[in-house]
Amino acid sequence: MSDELDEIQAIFFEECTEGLTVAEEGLSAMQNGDTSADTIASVFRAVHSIKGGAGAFGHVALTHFAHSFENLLDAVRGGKIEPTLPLVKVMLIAFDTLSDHVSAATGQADVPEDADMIARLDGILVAGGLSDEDEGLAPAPSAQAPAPDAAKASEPSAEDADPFGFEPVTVDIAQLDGDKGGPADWLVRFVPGNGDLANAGEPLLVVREVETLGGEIIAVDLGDMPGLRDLDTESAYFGWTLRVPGTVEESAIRDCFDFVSPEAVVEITREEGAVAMAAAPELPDVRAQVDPAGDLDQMLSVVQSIAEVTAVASPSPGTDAPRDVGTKYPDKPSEAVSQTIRVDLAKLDMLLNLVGELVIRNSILSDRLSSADQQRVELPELARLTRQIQDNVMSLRAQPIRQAFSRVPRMLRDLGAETGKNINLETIGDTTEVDKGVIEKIGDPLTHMIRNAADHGIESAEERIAAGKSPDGTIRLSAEQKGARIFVRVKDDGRGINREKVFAKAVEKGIVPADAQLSNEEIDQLICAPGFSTADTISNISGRGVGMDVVRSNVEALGGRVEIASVPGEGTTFTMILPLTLAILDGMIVRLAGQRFVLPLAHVIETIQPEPGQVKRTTPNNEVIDMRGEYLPIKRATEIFGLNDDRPIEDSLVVIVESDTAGQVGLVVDTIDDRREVVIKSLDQNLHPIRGLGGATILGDGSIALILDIEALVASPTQTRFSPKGMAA
Amino acid sequence: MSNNDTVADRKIVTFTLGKRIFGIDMTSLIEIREWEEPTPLPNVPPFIKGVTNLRGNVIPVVGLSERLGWEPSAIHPRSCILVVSIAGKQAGFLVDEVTDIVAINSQEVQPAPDVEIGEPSVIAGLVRITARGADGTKSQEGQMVLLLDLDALSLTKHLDLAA
Amino acid sequence: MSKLILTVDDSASMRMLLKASLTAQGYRIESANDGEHGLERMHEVKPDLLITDINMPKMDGFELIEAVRAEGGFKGTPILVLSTEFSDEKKTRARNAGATGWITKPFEAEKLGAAIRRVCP
Repeated sequence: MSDELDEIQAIFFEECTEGLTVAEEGLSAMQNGDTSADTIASVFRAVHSIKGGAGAFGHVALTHFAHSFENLLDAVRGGKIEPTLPLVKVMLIAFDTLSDHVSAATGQADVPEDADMIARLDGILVAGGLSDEDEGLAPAPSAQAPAPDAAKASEPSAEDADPFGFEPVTVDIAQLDGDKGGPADWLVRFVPGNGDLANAGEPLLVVREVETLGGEIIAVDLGDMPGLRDLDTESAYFGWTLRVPGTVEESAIRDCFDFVSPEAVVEITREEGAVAMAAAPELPDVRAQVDPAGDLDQMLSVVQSIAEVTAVASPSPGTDAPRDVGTKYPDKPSEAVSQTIRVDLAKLDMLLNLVGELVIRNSILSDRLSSADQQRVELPELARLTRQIQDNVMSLRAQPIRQAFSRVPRMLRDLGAETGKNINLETIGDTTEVDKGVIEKIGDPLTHMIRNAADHGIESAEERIAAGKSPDGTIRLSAEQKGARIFVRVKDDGRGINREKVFAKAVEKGIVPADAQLSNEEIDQLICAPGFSTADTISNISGRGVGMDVVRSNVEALGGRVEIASVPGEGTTFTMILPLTLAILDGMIVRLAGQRFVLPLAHVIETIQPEPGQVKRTTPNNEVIDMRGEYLPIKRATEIFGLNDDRPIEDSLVVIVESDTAGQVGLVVDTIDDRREVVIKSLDQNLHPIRGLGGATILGDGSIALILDIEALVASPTQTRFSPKGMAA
Repeated sequence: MSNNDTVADRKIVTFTLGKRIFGIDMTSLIEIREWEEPTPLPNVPPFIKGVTNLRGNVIPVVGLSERLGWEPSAIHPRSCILVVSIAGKQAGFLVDEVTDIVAINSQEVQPAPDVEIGEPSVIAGLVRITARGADGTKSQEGQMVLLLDLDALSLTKHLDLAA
Repeated sequence: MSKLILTVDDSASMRMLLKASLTAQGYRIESANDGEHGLERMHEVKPDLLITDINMPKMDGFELIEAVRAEGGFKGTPILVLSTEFSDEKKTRARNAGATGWITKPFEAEKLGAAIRRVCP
């Protein structure tokens, strides 16, 4: 059972994450003026569900906070409180606290300090909106002396007067009586109301339940029974009086009557006296005969519980007429809710591995068949089906990139508070679907890019006004798919890269020699060099230059790259170009010094068997190949990897590859074994990214082949200089 | 040593590198497999022998002897790979021979003395065990086992420095 | 044959939690994830008891209860509301819509069982 509960709780936490996303989207929409009923209801529902689950799993602090937040949202939903922009901003801060509570519940963070925020939310609820003083960010006035309603509102309890019957006022009779040799028996009188039968209720079951507590019927009241002719089967006529042993908790007896209707009569008294409760919810009639010897505190607590009930029963002040909401803004298209099931990611990956194997076996089978058999119709059909299975399994791992974008708004709010800059966020293409692995791994780079833009890119409001810009900065976050690649851009409208400063800094740090002739683009790239930081004062946001170099190395480890484009005075765009999937690659199995490697087919242009003299050595360290009069540089992966290779070039093959960074380059390999699709296994999962390798794969025979990272292998010296290896050399 | 049997609260697997006996906690051990030549990797320190396929996972194989600063282990029929989990990552350690699995009492673990290892921090402590002889009887004098601190051997930690 | 209960809640964890604790008490459980779905399932499974949340997308708990009561065939089927809300206004609304009882979340398995036996012997 506890395993099962853990599992359910894990699902609850996933729901929390989804709920937080929905709530944040709704609040952002409200911030942008969409205060339609649907939007407000979606935020309310999200917070409400988090509260419900949190209560079920015993996360007290989270439940408590969500409760206050939900009360305020409920008032906004009911039109009692106007969703003004300042109020939405307060709710966004409350949302952040809620997220922190969720993190705390999952054990990823400490429980946040929330007393002020709860007091503030409750204060707003009591006041019926933000007070004028509270329009800013001042703490709530009610933090000091909460109004009675506020205190009530922040107490999740079911102790209110209740139309389903009477609800208990907390008067501990046993305590009041003191321990005087066992309490007197209870006398319980119950006359059901007509409503009890109307809603499929069955009063007899209530009586039976009291009997299970040791109660016995001492009188049946037939007084109101009409003649048989007038008997209405839908009406209740009987009344019962039961005696229940005095040792039974009063609350246990009351629980039995939890569902009876308001018109029912329920009286619970000690046999020798005197606590009677009427069912009428409006004015709870609490007559407690307090033992004269009982102490003052007990009396006070009785008075207080009565006061609380009265406070709830009286109408709350400042209740406006409900606003007409929902017509001002177009309704959101209701999200198509399709049936879903949750699958353990490990199972999905296992399936993906198996499909990968299937693809491989398929191509091996195809190779081994005679050419006559290859013509048979079954084989291409099998290949097509296999491919379809593979595509479908891949799509199972695809998730909207929104998941990676979702933490950006919060971050910008925090950054705004830290830097005093007001930054707007525009998001484009957040429904673009990307492999889950990619989403998981772009989080950190994205964080650094946003921080860099907020910290270094966007100017202060004064600086912006002086430059003739709007005082608020804008960061545009976008994602789009082009072919098998995903482009994720972070574009700010800030000051752009100050190239003079960057170059001077790079020289000072010894990253480039003072006399280096660098293009603008090359200077921009220096930002990604390790240990580089342009901030005049080291801020606690972007930190000590562990920012953009991390972005670069992380993205390269994913088989992607980072591009930087900057226009002075207008802003900077960082682009992460990533593979659509990290899972499968179409590759050529080649041998280098006898060892098998995988060369990604996407880079391959053609393969040459070099003629004598076609490859020439230009300098001791450089070779070129003559390609119909055009000379392309030659790279020997064996040299780069330090493998022993004395094979003459004429016995080797040259694979011409196209790279983003170095154009066309000839790569020398021993032979080509095969062409097949491989399932990519990352090396950093258990080891560390290795420069020149994009990962490894497991071949059909169980052996491992390493996957070549063409970009890293052919990178020109300018690029390699910034790699950790290059730095050390 | 006498209360070895009474409050044994830890199980260790013991193995040899040259003449020395080492131990690691059973809780870190995933499996023991026969030596199989791994796929060599470029651009890594020499103690990383390469990578191998552990049920679909690509895991590094480390020459533990070299990692501790000694001569590489010579491969022989009893050479083994201890597959362990260190901070969520898996790795295989090449060892000369797996000798036993023994229960010890944590209170009997003594602090690491001066041993001829370049990095003393990789030794978490020393414990004496009563080794079982070939006939199953316990020998009287016992043997000293060097307990390895796997976290200190974390590959990524070391590689960050080596790269 | 043990009693069949239909639970309607938009939260998967809540549905699973209900299922886990009620199955352990010997009930058979069917579930639905919103009011509309709940109404469909009512017709399909014809449960002995309906337990529904209030705040749900598409069709909320009040609307579901009204729709169920409006259909005649379920007149004698008890309906329990299981919600984190507990205001008088909501409870009155639920009763007027035709709910038999109201249980406030979070629930304890034992109390839930007692509440169920109170309406569904």
